[in-house]
Amino acid sequence: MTAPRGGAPRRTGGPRDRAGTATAGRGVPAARVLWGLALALVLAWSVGPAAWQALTALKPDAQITHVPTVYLPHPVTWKHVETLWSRKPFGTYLANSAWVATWATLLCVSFAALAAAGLARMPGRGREPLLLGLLFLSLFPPILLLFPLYEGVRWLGWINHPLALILPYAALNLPLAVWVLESAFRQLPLELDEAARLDGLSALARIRRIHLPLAMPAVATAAILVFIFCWNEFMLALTFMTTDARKTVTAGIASVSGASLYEIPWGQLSAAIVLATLPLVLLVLVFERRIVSGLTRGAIKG
Amino acid sequence: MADLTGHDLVKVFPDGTRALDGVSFTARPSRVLTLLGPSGCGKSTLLRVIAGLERATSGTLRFGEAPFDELPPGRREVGFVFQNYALYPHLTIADNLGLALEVRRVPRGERERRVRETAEMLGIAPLLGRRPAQLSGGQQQRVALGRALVRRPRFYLLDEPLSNLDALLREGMRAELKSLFGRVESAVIYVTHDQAEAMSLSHEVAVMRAGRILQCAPPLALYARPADLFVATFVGSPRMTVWRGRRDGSMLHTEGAALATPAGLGGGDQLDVGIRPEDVEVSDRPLPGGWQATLEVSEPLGARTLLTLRIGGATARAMAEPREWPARPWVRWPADRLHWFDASGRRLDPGGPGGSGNR
Amino acid sequence: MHRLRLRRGSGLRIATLALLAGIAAGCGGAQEGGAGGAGRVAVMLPPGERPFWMPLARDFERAHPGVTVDLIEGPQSTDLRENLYTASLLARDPSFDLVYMDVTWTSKFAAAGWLRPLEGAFPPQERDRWLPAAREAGMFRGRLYRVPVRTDVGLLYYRRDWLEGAGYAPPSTFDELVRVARALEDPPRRWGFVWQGKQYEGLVCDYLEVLTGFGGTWVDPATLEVGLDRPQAAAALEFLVRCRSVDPISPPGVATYQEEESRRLFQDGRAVFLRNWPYVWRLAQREDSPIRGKIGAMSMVHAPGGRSAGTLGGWGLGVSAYSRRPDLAVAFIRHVTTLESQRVLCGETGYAPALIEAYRDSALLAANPFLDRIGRLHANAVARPGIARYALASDILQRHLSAALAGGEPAARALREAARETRLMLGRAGAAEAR
Ligand SMILES: Nc1ncnc2c1ncn2[C@@H]1O[C@H](COP(=O)(O)OP(=O)(O)O)[C@@H](O)[C@H]1O
Ligand SMILES: [Mg+2]
Repeated sequence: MTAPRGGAPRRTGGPRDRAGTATAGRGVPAARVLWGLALALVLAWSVGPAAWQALTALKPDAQITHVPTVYLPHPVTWKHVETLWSRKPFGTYLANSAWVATWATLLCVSFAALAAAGLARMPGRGREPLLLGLLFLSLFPPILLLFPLYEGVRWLGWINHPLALILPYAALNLPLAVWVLESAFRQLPLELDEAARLDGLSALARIRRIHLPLAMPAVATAAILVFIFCWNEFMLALTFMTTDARKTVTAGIASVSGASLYEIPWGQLSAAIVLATLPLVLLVLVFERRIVSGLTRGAIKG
Repeated sequence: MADLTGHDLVKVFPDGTRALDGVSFTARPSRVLTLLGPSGCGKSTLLRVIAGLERATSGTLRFGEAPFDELPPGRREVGFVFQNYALYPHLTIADNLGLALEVRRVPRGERERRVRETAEMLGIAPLLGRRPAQLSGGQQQRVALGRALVRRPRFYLLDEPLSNLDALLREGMRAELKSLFGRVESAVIYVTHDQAEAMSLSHEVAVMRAGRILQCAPPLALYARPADLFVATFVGSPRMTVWRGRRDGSMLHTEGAALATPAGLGGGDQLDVGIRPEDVEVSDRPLPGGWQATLEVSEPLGARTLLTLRIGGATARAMAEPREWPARPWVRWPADRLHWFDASGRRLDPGGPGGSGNR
Repeated sequence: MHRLRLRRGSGLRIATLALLAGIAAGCGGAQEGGAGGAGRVAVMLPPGERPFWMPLARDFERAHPGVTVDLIEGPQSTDLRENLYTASLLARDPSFDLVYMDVTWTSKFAAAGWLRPLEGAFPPQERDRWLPAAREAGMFRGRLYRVPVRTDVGLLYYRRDWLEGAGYAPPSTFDELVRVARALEDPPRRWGFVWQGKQYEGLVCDYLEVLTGFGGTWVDPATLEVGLDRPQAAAALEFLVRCRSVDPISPPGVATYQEEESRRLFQDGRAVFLRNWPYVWRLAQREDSPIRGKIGAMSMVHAPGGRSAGTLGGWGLGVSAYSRRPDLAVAFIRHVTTLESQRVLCGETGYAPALIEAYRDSALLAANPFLDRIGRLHANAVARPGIARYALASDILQRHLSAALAGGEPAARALREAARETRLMLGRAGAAEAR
């Protein structure tokens, strides 16, 4: 990749090349200004709504709906957060979400690893159709599964049992995780597999000790995506978890209420959304470190 | 340790490629059997079949008397060295070496001792804590060897282990390998397409072509009495000069010269005759019983100079003294240094057909 | 290669078995969440209401030793609660014994067979104690499925101080409303008339009041006749369009308003008239309210010769067809609809009760003097059509009302289209509806 001759044809994108020469040449400030501007726009676009939620969570009620718009809360109030914690077992919601999402992610990535390892080393022409089939499966809107799942969950007596969420979450995310892991596994040199077979590692041991560690960036990516899905999933959580002790954070937020049937408690909702998102942000930051370190020590070819 | 034998191994890939076409061999303890052949002739496939990474379409493998075709690779006790080493990038060198022992539940203490011993033997002990990416090519090569050695396998399989090294390192490693092989008690099967490597390392060389073993013999025997025209030209550098001719009585008429056929030589009307460049005598002055040639190319190699000569309508190559040669030198060769082959490429020996090599 | 695949397959099988074993182990602990015990009644409530039901539930438990009342806190959104009930009932799930229903759910749930008929448990003389409109809203095809617990009725609030100051009497016709509003408004600081114009159920409620005021009808639940393409319907919609764009007494944003947006303008002293529900009264009378003591409430105005109407809302209880203890469920309904319980539930919240006598109850009147007025305005209550596919009919109407209000489509044409679609929808379901 570093060889200029070898690298050139692979880089098909024109803009990347231009950016490369611009920084190398140091002489084109216009490109840099544009670059910075674009970055600022993207940042505003993606961070803006989140920041707005955070600000709303800290505003007194009167300022939330005030016209003209009040941007910065003055004074900052923790009232919404306090109300939220005192009215709702918000900590329990968070813990439930963490518990469900963690197990669902573990389960999903483990099974996806088995399937992906099989697919990645599958001889013959069966692999592509299978992968396409998986993709097709993942296109089904999960809402279609709500009623059958409800019947099943009720039949098993799993209403208000974490498994009622863990298993569907894991299953719903399998196609995605298999896709991510399969393409990563397929890029591992076949000889590593063979060396491990000769060293006496079983199929499962190879996945655990060779595939997964070497595909760590992909594993982390898959895990984060699955975890985020589980954390954010709403319909199943709402339907299967009816008691406060079992509700996940999304279902919990749905039951945040205002003083009247018609009032929407914006402040509390914003506080709840910010509180529900923070753990996710922290998690991604931590995992991102892992992805980066995984990348730097990957170095498969000697 | 017992003999490792393969009998009539055939490997046909699902796409129809017939990579092994009835291969039989015997690899003996403490001896190096080299598989030599051009790229694509099935060397790696044979190695992989032995290791269990591929399953033979038919044929049997035995260690001593016991067939092991049904054993999974991990239970065949092979030390395999991959062409590209295939070290585990995420494990330290110590773990790379120790993984097989760990899987076999060798106690920790003994495991560490064996890893260290092996590393010391290969001169990589200081590197045990590093990861493969932090090693040079030569060091990685040693680790790959170490991974095979540390297991004390029943046989070693090495697939072109030196081909990824630069020329200088390769020669040094070749010598080290030779001394290493001298100390092991298991059979070694060594794959290469480099005949110099094959000659220098092996007790026996099996020359392969198109999924078959053409000849299996000790290196010098192979050189002296190639059983086959292909072997004759493949073994020896620079290549043997081969002329085709028509037999007329006791003479063979080639484009270059008419040569007397030895008495009792079999074969039909058409024969090939070969002479190795190092067997050609070159002189400024006329040589009795020789021919005057035209010098076309002169390549000084240092110790010798390689000449490309035209004799009549054909070319021949000769290893001559390292000096300037005139435009029309004289050449000659002893009749007993000629190699005769019939129309199908089989070696002809005065006094009877065949008679050398295993096949 | 063959062997490799075989071995991999066996690894997978082992993993699958292990997982199944784990699940089986998980099953044992799962049962506690299931419905069951002989003495349990469960109902899902809006989260904000639960605290006010708690004392009722405790009273009931005290009166029925061994029985627990499970007040499950549902999501805040009415639609989500309806979905949850629907999912549960579709699955014949006994975990909700009682269904706490909006007026508009009754026909759908009853038509689906998810509710138990209750006229046996509540004989006529008992039913006569309920507000007539609320009582009717609990009936479907002649049977009772829902007992009203609290009611809602659409009201027209006005700034009494401004009207009196300018010498106006409260208007009684649409034209008068526009005239007074125009005279007193000062846009954009102060608007004449604010209401709910967003494309949602609230728009249908507002329109239904105006429609009734013009003498029009929407769908007759008995005959399934559709009145949306009659001139009265067009006149009603034209009035709403006129408020927004012809004689602008409503802000342009009214087409995006729900209850709270319109209330906030009114409460900030920036509107003369407000169409909304009874809950506004309590908020307007709070200490910190700038309009405290300055407002009046009446029913929506009407066309000359027409009648005033307030859309009926409110919540009631039905018994799930899958309840394992319908007897307890009925007992609980009876318990929460006594006068004492109505005092508990409505006194603190300001909800309008369902019992007629509650509107004359001195304790309740002391807590909420406005009840007296609501009680009288309840006479004008008009119900949304009790057809099984009410949600679809409402959706059709919302779309076309909104197209005329926000999209500038001529009112008559929008309603003709709405009538056509409604008939089509009813026609397809005709057999089921008219049974
Ligand atoms: N997995 C495979 N599928 C089909 N053909 C193969 C496969 N592996 C090797 N071959 C073919 O078998 C022949 C022998 O290959 P190989 O044993 O790798 O040769 P070499 O002597 O260079 O090591 C070649 O023609 C090669 O293309
Ligand atoms: Mg090869």
